[in-house]
Order: sequence, then C-alpha cells, then structure tokens
Amino acid sequence: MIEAYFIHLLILIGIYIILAISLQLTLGFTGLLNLGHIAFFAIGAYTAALLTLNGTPFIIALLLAGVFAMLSGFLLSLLTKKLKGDYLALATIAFTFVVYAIALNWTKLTRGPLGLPGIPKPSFFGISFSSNFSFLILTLIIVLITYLIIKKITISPFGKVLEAIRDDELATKVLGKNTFKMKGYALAISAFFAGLAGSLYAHYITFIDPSSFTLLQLIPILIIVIVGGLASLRGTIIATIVLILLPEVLRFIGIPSTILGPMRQIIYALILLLILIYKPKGFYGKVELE
Amino acid sequence: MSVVLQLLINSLIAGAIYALVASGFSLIYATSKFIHFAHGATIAFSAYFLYFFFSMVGLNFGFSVILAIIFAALLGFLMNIIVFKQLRKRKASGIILLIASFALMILLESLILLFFGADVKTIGYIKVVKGLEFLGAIITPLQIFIIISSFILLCLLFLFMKKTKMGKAMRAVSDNKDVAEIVGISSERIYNWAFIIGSAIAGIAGILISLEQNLSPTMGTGLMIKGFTGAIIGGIGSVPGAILGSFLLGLAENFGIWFLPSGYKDAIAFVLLFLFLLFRPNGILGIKKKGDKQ
Amino acid sequence: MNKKIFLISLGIAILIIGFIFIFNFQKQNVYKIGVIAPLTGIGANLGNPVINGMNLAVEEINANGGINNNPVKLLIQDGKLDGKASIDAVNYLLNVEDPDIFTTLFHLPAQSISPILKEAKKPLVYEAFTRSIVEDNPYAFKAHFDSLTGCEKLIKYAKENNKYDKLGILMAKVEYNELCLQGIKKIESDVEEYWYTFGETDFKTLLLKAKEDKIDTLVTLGLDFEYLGIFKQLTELGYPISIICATASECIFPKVIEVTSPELLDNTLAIDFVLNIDETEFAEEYSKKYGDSSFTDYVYGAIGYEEVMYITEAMKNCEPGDSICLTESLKNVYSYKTVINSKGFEDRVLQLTTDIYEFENGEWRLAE
Repeated sequence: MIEAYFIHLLILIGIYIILAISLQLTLGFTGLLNLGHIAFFAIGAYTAALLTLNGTPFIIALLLAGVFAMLSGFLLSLLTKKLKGDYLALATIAFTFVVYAIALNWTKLTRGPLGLPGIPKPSFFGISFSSNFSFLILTLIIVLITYLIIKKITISPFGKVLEAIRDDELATKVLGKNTFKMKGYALAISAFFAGLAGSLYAHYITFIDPSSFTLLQLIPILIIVIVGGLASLRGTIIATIVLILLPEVLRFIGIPSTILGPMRQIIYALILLLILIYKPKGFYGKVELE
Repeated sequence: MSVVLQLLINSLIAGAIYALVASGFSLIYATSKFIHFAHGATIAFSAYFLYFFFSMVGLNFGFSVILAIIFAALLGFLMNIIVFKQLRKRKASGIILLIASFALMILLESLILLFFGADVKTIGYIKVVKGLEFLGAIITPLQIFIIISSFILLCLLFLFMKKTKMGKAMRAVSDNKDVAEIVGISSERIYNWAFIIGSAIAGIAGILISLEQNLSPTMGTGLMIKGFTGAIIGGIGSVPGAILGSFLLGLAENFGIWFLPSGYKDAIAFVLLFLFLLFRPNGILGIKKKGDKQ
Repeated sequence: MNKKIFLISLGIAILIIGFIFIFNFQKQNVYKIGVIAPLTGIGANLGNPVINGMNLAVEEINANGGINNNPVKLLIQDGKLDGKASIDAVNYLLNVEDPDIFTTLFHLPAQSISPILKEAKKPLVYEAFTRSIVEDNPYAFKAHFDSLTGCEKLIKYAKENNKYDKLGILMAKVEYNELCLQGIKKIESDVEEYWYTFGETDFKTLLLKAKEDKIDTLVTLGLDFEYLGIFKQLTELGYPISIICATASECIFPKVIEVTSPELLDNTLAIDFVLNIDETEFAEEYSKKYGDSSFTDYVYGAIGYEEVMYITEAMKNCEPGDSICLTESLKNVYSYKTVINSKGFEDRVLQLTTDIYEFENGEWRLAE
C-alpha cells in the first residue's frame, strides 16, 4: 500500500512538471508574463473529459485537448499582441477568469458547478491503463516527451531567438525577426503541453469541476517556476519535486486537530517566505525578469 | 426611474468600497511596482482588529475604530520592512515580491482562522432598520456615510498626491525611481509611507465592510480582486484612475446584473478588465511607463 | 549547489520513509475512522465543528471501554473543500494509515474521492446534499439533508397552502442548489431564477430585480453569511418579499434575528431535521468542551457526533481493519445513540425525519 502512496505523488509530480516546464517556455525563456496557464490546463481537461465521456478514444482526446489548448494560446497571443510586461500579465489573468466563468455558467456543456464525474480511465490499443502504476508509466512517457521537445526548442535557433526577445525585444525586431510570430508560437506550444497536462489530470482524478481551474491553482506552478529558477529546466523539475513533497512531509507532523489546518498553512507559508528570502533568484535561475 | 436611481446608489456603495481598496493597492503598486496580494489580508485584519477591540475587549467604538486603522497601517508597514525590503535588498524582481505577498496572505489568513475561528462574525454597532426613501430608491444612513466618507477620503488622497511634498515625492518615485533618488528622495522611505497610507485606507475599507456586511477570515481575498480589477480598469499605477475604475466597476456590475442573465456578475468584471487591457491598456487615466507599447 | 539540493531532497525522502515505518509498527487492534474535512478556507466553519463533534463522541466511547475492548481513533486530514487536496488527503490516508472507514463533508470532496474508495472497496460516509455518489458507488453512504427531496417537500407545502403568488429563487450557483431547483420544478414550473456566484455578499441589485419582477417569495439555500446578507439587506430595502429556506436552524439563527425586522422574519418557511439542538444535552456537553458555540456549531457538531455513533455501532460486529464486514454491518444498523433523530440507513441513505416549520414571534413553529 505504501507504494501506492508514492505512485500517486509521482503522478502528480509528473503532471506538474509538464505544467511547469511548459510555463517555463513562455515565462523564463521568452519573458512573457503569461499567467493564463491555468486556462489552457482547464481547456485541455474539459476537452478531453467531454470527448472521452462521449466515447472518443483516449489518444485522440489527449491530442485534441492539446490542440484546442494550443488554438486558445494562439487566440490569446493575437488578442494581447500589443501588450507588454504587467499589462500582459493582467490580460492573461483576466483570460483565466473568463474561461473559469464560462466553465461555471455554460451549464449545458460543462454541467457548471456539478462538474463532470466518471471520466473513464485511459485505454488504447485494447490495453487499459486503469491501475495507478500503469497510469504512472503513461504520465512518465508524456513527461519525457514534453521535456525532450521543450529542451530541444530551448537549444535550437528558435529558442535562442525567444531568449533574445526576452532580453531585448526591440533589438531583436531591429535584427529582422518577426517577434510577434515567435511569441505566438511560444505561447501556442506552451498551451499545447498545458492542454496535455489537463487531459492527464482529468483522466487521473476522473472528476473535474470549475473550482479546480481558478487563478489560485496557478500559484503553486508559478512558485515552482520561480523557485526553480527562470530559464532552467533542471531547476523546474527539482523545484516541482520539492514543492509537491513539502506539504506531504507536513502531514506526518502531529498537530492537535483543533489547530491542524491553519498551523500547516502557516508552516508552509513561512517555509516559502524563507526560500524566497534566501534564494530570490530561485535555485538555478540565471535570469532577471523586469 | 426609481429603478435607475437605486441601481446608481447600489453602484456607488459598491464602487466606494472598491475604490478604497483599489486606491491603497494602487498607491503601493505605483511606488513599489509589484502586485501586493496581501493587501486583502490587511483589510481582513483591520475588520478583525475592530471586532477584537469593540466586541471582545469592549472598548469605546470610536476608539476601537481608530486603533483598528492604526494597527492596519502598522501591519502594512511591518510587511514592507520585514519581508519586501529584505527581498528588494537581494534584488528580487516584481514576480518574487508577488509570490512573497501571496505567501504573506496565506500566513495572515491562517492566523485569523487560528485566533478567531472560521464562523462568520458581525459587529452589532448599528441597529438595522429600513433605509431612508429618496425619490423611490432606498439608502441607509451607513451607506450614505460610506459614500460620503469614501469621497472625502479619496479627495484628500488626491490632494495629498498632487499638492504635498510627500505626495509629489511618491509620484516621482513612481515615474522614475532612479532619477528620484538622484534628486535626493529616499525610495525606501517612500515605500514605507506608501504602505502605511495604503494600508490605513484598506483598514478603513475593512471597517466599513464589517459594519455594512460581516466578517469572515476570507473576506479580504474577494475584495482584493474587485479592487484590483478597478485599479486595472482605471490604469494601474494611477491612484485617481483606480478610484474612477472602481466606480466604473460598481456601475458595470450592478447595471450588468440588471440586463444580463444572473450568474454572470463576476464574468462582467473580468470581461471588462480584459477589454480594457486589450483596447486601453493604460486604463482610463493610466500613466505611460517607460518601456510601454508605442 | 547541486549537491545541497539533492541532499535535501534525499533527506526529505528518508524522513518520509522513516515515518512510514514508524507508523506501520503501531498497534493493530484499533478501529480507525478516516476523516477528510475542510479545516481551512471556505467551509472550515462547518468542518471544524464536525470534527469537534466526532472527537467528543470518540472520547465518550473510549472512556466506556471502546468497541469490543478496542479503542477508536480518528485520522483527520484537511480536504480544504478542494478536489485535488481531498484526493491527496485520501491517498495519504488510504495508503499510509489505512482506516477502516472514511467520512467526508460536502459534495466536491466526496465526488473526488468516491472513485478511489470504490476501487479500494472502502466504505465512505459523506455528508452532502447529492445522491449521485451513493447511486454510483456501492460502498458509499449518504448522510445529511437532501436538497432535491427537501426543496420539493417545501414547495409542495407552500403551493398547497397558497403561501406565494409568484416564486423565485435567489441562490449561489452550486450543485446543491441546482438540485434544489430540480426539486422545486417538480411542483412548480413557473420559477424565476436569480443566481449569484458563491461567495457573493451584496444582493441588493438581485433583490431589486426580483421586486421589479413582482416576485413575492424567494427560495434560498446557503451558508450563514448568505442568510445574514439576504435578510439584512431585505430589511434595509423594505421590499415585500418573504423567504423560504432550508434548513431552518441554519437559516434563522440569533445573528440573523439581530439584523432582521420581525415582520420579515414572520412567515418564513423552512424545512429541517434537527431543531432546538441548542437545548439538548449534546449541546451542553459540546459547550463544556469547546466553550461558547453558535447554533451552526451545534448542528454540525451533532452531525459529526452522530456519524461516530452509528459507525461504531456497526463496528461492534466486525474486527478492526475489516472494511468489507463494516460496509455490510453499516447497512443494517438501526439502534444507536442519536442526537439528530436519524434512523439508520435505507439503501445506504441516512433516514432523517424532516418537518416543515414556520417562523412566528421569534421562534420556529411546526407547520404541518
């Protein structure tokens, strides 16, 4: 049974790694203050859930989840074409709220607050992935694919242009690069993987509802990306592991139940503050964001 | 006609509270340049301070109010000195400060939960009676007080920013910190004062809300989001803009509920926010910062 | 720098494994009840009293020798009224502490953890208004008020007794309200809907809309801060609208009476399964241990207390750790110490007697 506990944690770590490194692509490498990541996660989750609940095979649902999320990424980049820095952050936050409001109110499609229960566990080519261990394998495969693709992007010429955009967009434009198109691609790719993560999440938890996709859910991912260090994939992965395991360790500390809840949150917040004060650039960060 | 008047009154009451929240938040953002999430916790703490002094310890109401505002300002000041200043010394960027502020919000909300419990509390200072009727619309004395005191406070803030030495220094730091320092303005000192004043105003908002509605540990978060939205609509970094944007938000919400199917009230706020960011990212009165879009 | 991080991660991993081994060497002969409830965040004001009530019950039972001479233990985790947090909590409890039975509060956590517990064949008692979980999971037991049948019963009474001309609902857009509306529509199809997002505290414009639509009665179902806000604002606005609500004790409580005009309170209609809980012996015991408490604290404390009572009664027929036996036993448990007048499970749904009440002259009066 103990292994089951760890398997669950590893699956969560896997899903968060996908979310975090895809956010890293836009935030750390391209310098885009994209805080709408949860919206793409939500779009991926709902798309995949609705498709498989209506009989679509898992693999197709997974891919379509990524594609729909990617398209919304494109849409967002078009809408926010002229925005920079904080304004972009705020527009992407607003985007998250709008997606949440749609999920909550378009009850005909999403069942609103009732959510979508009973999402089937994945199976393809006749092999069912219903056991947690097999789901872990599936997750690890997708994590590996995500990591390899994003790593490849970051060391490719395209990746270099993205970093140039982050460091000095004007100069990059002057050098003839269509920065708007590049930023659009980065956002779209990032959104694609967030959509994949959403699909995995939906099929693992088997129940989604709008409350899983609010801005508050972005904070753990943001913390991972910052604490790991901007533009560092290795830092992101390590930070994901540490930050997911941290609250689990706190579970073992015996605290009287009357103050259990708030005490754990206080300890978590204090540890977070200490990490920020002692490592303000994150563990492996090489970059400043302004 | 009386319907329109009532909608207007409802909008003004909501807008007044949002404006108090937004102006304090905006002041802090304009000077310190980061999104101070824990501003919501300041609002909640101020309300609970009032509850503590008035309903638990039994001090005189007016005295409790003054103490609550002072403690709220103190809280903001301490957050700056203990956390944000240390981070700034280590060259932390705006996003790090944002996360730190978020951590502070969790910490403070948990402390309220620990000491006061999760159930909703009320401050029974004002007896509840039917409001005054005015051309077919209803408004209570407290609501009139909220609108007027908000208005006065915000005017004072506006004058402060425009006319006083400190106010001008704040605007200088907000426009260009480096140049301001060259001229001899201590930015750290300005940050302290921005936090003190901004948090005091938030404190007043908390007190008014606790009298008009009630108290719960999570009361700050919702208000913070509304104030934040108002600040954006008006132009982040502009205190007068934040005020204007908040009143606009109040109007949009209440008139929006009237015309749209209900349940979309929050969505209205965010769609409005989104639209403003797309078409007028500087908001209505926003100041252009260096490095903005051309 | 590398080494430091890896050493720290390694240290954490060792700590976790170490703690797990310590836990595994604990006594086996303990009856364990796993609890996943909101201890922080929204809903904490209901989660905490439930835990208090459960603790009160467990202490009482252990003081009297436990069950079959074995002690009963509560294993509590914070579900925060969040799907993911609840799943993390259930994952920990199931795989590390392995309780005999699980209990949880509210629909969202219950819906999230039900599939996992169904697969693990562990019984789950959930306090929520929705039936879908008990219908889908053969190991699930539903307790607490049922908003679909409850609202249906309320409006049936209201319609038969001509308590309204034009009906509307003023509700937060959450699942128990969607179900309440379904129940209402079985009796009355002409209902205006005034929804708001959960957490809203300003109802003035929605009330204005209702008044202009000539609604004379609004049905509402929610938490204490919602009732406080609605009653207070309705009093201040003076609109001629009466309220129908559920449950009676949650709807009109002392703080509400302080802020509402008596004319508005009179003729309020409500349904409830436990009234006057504050005058019972249970409330006395609860106050002794936990100090000054509100009505809601007593109600939810009683719900928690009751859970432990029927669960431990069922445990008498089983060995510690035998969840399969416990599931069967729980289906047939009918006589136990009760504070909310429940009468055991039928088709795994807790049988509560509900009555309709009308508020008059400062107190609830049985209507039927």
